[in-house]
Amino acid sequence: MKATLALLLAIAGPAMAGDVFQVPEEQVVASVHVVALAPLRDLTKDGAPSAALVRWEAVLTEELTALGLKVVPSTEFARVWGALASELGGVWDPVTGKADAKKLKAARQHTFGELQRLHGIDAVIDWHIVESHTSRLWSEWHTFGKQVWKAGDETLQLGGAPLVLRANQERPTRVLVVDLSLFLSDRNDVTLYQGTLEVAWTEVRHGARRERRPAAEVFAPDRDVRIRAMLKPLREAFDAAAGKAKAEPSAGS
Amino acid sequence: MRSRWLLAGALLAAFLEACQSTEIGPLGAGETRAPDELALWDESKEWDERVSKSEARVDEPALQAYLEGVAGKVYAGMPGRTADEIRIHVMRTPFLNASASPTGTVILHSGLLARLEDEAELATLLGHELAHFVSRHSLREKRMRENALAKRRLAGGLLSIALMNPIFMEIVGSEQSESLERQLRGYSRELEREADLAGFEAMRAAGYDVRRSVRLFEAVLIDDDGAKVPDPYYWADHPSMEERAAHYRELISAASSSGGEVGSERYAAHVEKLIEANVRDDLGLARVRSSKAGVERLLARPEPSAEAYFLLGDWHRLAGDASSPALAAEAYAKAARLDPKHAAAARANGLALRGLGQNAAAAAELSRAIALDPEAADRPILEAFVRELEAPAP
Repeated sequence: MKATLALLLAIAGPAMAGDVFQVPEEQVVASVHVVALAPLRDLTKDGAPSAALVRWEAVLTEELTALGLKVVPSTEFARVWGALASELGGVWDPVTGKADAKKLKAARQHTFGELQRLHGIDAVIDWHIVESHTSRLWSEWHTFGKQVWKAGDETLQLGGAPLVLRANQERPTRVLVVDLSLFLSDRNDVTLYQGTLEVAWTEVRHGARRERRPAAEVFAPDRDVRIRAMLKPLREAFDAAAGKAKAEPSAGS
Repeated sequence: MRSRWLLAGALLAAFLEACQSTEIGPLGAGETRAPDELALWDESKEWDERVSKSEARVDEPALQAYLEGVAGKVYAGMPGRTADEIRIHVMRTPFLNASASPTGTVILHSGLLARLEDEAELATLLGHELAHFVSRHSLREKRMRENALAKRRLAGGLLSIALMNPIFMEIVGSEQSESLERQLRGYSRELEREADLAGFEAMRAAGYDVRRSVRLFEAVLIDDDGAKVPDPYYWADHPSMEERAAHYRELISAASSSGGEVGSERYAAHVEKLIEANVRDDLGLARVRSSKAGVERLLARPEPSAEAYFLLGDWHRLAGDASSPALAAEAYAKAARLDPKHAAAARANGLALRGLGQNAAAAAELSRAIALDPEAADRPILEAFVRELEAPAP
């Protein structure tokens, strides 16, 4: 039971914060109809299971399609990018691993241009996962501990028995989490919409010990909900525009 | 009980000691500078130094001389001015703002200058900002803020004494309280109104057509792109633009003036490059409406430049409607015709023609772009496109 509880608690996450729309949302709704997905960049220490990456792209595609958008898959982005980057003799320095900024910009601009010419895209979605340290408050219940997202006590219903977790504000701690970031950009690389959400903690604490969680747990299918959460403001903007369009039928209808 | 009265008396004495006069005359009144004003000047000089070295500062001597000339004319008509030199800095940022430091440095954002239509509007803006400087508004606002805080601390102290509960001291004496913020905004409003009046009189004394003054505020009101997205420098701190426009209409009506200098052409000629730069910045922030307004200004010039048509092409691509590719291609072609050495126009035209399937014309334009800018980072890609366009159809 403790293990189940630990897992359930460890995957609880905060709401996405900050301004997600970088331009008026009406502008995004009006100007974005076809989007190309760039391949998900996996910058985590151990790497995400490839099955999870495939599943996440399917979830993202499904979400965007539900908004009425046409989605160009990441394989097409990768194909065009690869061809153009190779014309430039490669964008990354094979020794240092650093990108040549001018070549990178040129490859990026022309990839957009080609995908626009071939598929009529209006925007590109770049997304990546990275592992980072996040400060959290430490809370304890008997021998069981968890990091909580905010100060204050929290009551959890588990198996019918309420557990009250008391936040200890005197002991802030840092945990490793996988962050998923997504950027919707236009042809000038201007970010139109962005979001970052914590997918899951990559370690759990048992008393004083920290244990690395298996990738299967961190990238479990129930984490797919984070992608949907990340797109919520975008969905609301598209829904609002659709509602408005219904309320104001065109003269011919 | 007696000790409570003693405590209250001590608090009141401290309050009176802390309060400073906000009856501050203009700069030239010959008053000795108080230590708090000298401290403000020191801070301001440091800030001036940073601004003058900023990479965002626009370094265009002709524009600088023009702006200083207009500022000098307006400043000459201000009561209370001193022999202190005023300085003007234009900062390249597409947002709408202007400010004046306690030591007479006026900062103008390129976004705001790009919105103005003539010299009379510029004189209104400069008059307003210089009025803040001459009337020592920064000192007045500082003292009003400190006095307000002292009042709140007194109230908190008296409540704490009366109710024997120190919590009131903490609550009411908080420097960050929202009600204090509101109070400060109220004071700012009063000072802005005062600066509006002084600025208006100064631009009138300088011989400008006062009927143009109100457009300064109307220009800010049409910042559609700024309305929904947070703008760090937006004039939102000032009284609402509607209210200020109404104030100016009252002033214009009372002045019953029907003439004066407008200087539309002179202003347009001096800010043309600045507007071009501002359109590029607006496009870089996907500000569709602002960039369109800028492009329209450039195209309204007697002889629009190649850059104006190039930016029109970029704007069409940003707008992204069904007719955009053809309209963008048309604009780029015009830019390339007007300036055959404009490499970016040739490149954009070639890519647009390629998108429209006009292969021979696209290959010619892209080859021209390569010849004009052989060092371009994307040259290998353009060369590959030319090869592909020139290859016989399978």
